[in-house]
Amino acid sequence: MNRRHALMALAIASLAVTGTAGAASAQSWPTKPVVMVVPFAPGGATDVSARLVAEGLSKELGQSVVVENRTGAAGNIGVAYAVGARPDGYTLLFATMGTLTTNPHLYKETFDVQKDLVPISKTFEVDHVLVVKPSLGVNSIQELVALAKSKPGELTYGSAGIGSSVQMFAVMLNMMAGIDVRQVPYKGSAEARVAVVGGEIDMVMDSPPSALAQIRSGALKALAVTNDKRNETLPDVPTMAEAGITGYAASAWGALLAPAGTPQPIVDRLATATRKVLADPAVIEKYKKTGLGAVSSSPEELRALIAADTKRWGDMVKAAGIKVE
Amino acid sequence: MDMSQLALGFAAALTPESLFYCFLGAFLGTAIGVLPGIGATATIALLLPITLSLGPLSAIIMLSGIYYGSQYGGSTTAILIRIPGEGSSVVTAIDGYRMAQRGEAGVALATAAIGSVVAGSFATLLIGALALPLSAVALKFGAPEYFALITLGLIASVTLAHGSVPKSLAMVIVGIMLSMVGTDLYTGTRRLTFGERSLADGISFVVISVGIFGLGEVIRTIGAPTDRDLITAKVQGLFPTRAQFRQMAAPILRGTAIGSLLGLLPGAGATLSSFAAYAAEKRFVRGPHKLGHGAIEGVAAPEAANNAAAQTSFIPMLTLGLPANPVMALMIGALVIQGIRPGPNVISANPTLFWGLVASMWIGNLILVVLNLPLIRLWVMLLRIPYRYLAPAIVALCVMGVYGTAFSVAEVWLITGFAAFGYALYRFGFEPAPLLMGFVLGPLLEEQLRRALIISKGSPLIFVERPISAALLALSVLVLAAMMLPRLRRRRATVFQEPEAI
Repeated sequence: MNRRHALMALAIASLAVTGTAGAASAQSWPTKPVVMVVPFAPGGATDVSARLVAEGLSKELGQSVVVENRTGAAGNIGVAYAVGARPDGYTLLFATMGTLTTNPHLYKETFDVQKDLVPISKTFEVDHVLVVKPSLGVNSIQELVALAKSKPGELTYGSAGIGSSVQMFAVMLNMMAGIDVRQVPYKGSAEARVAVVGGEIDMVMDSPPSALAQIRSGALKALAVTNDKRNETLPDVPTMAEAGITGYAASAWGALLAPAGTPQPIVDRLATATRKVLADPAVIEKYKKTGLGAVSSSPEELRALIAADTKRWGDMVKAAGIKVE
Repeated sequence: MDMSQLALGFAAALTPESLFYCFLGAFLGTAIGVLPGIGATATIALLLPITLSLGPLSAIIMLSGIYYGSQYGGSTTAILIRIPGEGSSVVTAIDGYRMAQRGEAGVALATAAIGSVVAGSFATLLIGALALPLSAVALKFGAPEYFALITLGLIASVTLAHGSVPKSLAMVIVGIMLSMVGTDLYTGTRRLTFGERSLADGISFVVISVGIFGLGEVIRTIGAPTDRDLITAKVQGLFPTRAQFRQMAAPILRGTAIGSLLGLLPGAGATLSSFAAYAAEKRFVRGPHKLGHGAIEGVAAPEAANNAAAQTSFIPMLTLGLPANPVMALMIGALVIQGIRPGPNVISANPTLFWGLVASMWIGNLILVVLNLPLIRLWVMLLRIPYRYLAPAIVALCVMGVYGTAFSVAEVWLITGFAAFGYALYRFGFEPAPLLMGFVLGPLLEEQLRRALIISKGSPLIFVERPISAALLALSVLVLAAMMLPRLRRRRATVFQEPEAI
């Protein structure tokens, strides 16, 4: 019982501190713990990567960086929370491609990602692999496309929810290959993968390490990886471009940002520190176990990436007619 | 098969290090489970970074200790103050709380603990013997099968309710409607949120449970004209008598069987299992003490079932990577950080981890009993605090607990509203248990129904073309038909009937 009280008191105290302290000067920053808001549930790939980055940043900055999961509304709750926080460098946002570049096309929100947040650094990258059920009888993307064309609207892919990378990458294949594979939404990619293994649906875009065991055992057949280079977990699987879908290249990513108005020196220091953390071999190794690629960027590169992907997924959402009321 | 493997597991789980983390997890879990609000999910989330520095086995042993410790703690509050910590202990609240009012809180708590450990032992053996073949069960269950199973569960809950059938049916439907609030999985549309972002993910179970059950009960007790102290009768023995042991034996075994089976189905398992075990018990319990009025069977069977289900749900988690609930999702996260990816190969690739975990579950349950039996005296003493002091404390803890889970003031308003709603339900003779069942199973029902229809391109034939789904739906129809027959209606059980006010 005491333990629980202590946990709660700690949480409330840390909130109170964040909320009431005045803007600290950029020189002395950080003089107290920094909160890193993660808009997703603990335990997922985003959360794991955020915790690794937070751990590294704590060492680099000499202050603890605390992960705070503010989940819900496809990540919008966490983003909105960070946008509304004081821009003093004590609140950061660890967000993803989906929250930053597809959500704006799907949900009416009170914030504008590109105006209300300042980019710090890209923090991870993750490829997907297209796996199909073996009973579908296709051995390559070309055969899949031919089959899909022969029976439009008959094949199904699993998605991990509206706007998820798992869905967007499949929509992209639909558009670029000119096929019509229908979406069947699941709560997460694990559920969708199991549905493919069980034969309920035909294919899913999954992360290579998650699907590896079932690819090896023959329960799933891997056709192509989504990035423009091969994935080291699955060196024998061709890229989409190699398999004949020219121009197809996509990977999901995560990034660190801060509320707009955060002093530039703080942003720069965070960018440098993040870059250092993500170059640490121990961190890279742990990332690899989770199936993520450790990637960093300059704030400007991240800004350009957000703008480019926002446009790309916006076009895709429009073309595919995905609409949220 | 592999009893030698199980021995390997016990060797791994009985090292001082493993025992320490097992104890720590069970202890923490019990502590956080006892009060509403911060649940296992939040605690595991807080501890996740710490587990990074532990070995994989120690990490998962501690986390699973927290998981079943909190489940046991949740039953404690269900029995003592009628606040079920999670869906699976809703049923325990019915008879357990009644027993506590009769002065038998100690017996009820001991029954829950004993039921859990016995169920845990059987489930452990089952996993040891049949883990891999059993994992195939989850693969057999597609959308139509899940839909049919949940339909059966909901219909059974109505049939078995004691009060008027239309009222129980209404409660199930109100529960389903409450569960519709939030983001639609298929379109992303926010339903019934009134523009309130904090409702985008729906109403949490804790809010409904604390509001309707916990606070509603406080209002109802204060409103009762007679003695308000929780224990109205003399406190009887803290430990079950020989006769009571005999009474609980068969229900525990039945609960274990039902729980072990349903635990294999991710998502619906744990909650359905305690309801199903309670419903089954209705067929067997004879005699003057009736289920719904503080019968020991009404605690023993569902507690055994939800614990068995909690353990067998590790099978789909470890072999398919399918989380049964958010806690399991966290555990997958913890394993992945350690470089262990759940999948069909996890047993052969990491035998020490798999079997060590299985063995530690059993040890953990034993630790829970050892830990909690001495505490029972303390809990019972708590109930003897005069209600005028206890009531404000319960209210304060409920409010703080709910605020603490999401730091959302909106949720505090919500529990206030649900408290009033809960009291109104009581005044008009509606039973809240079917409502909670509808609330917990509603989203799954909708999700699977729509998924099945998307797959079949809108053809409802998919439900009857598949044998498992067709059989389950046929059974649902039979149960419904049975409900219409007057002779059977008279025998209709008293599963969800809440006792009248004291």
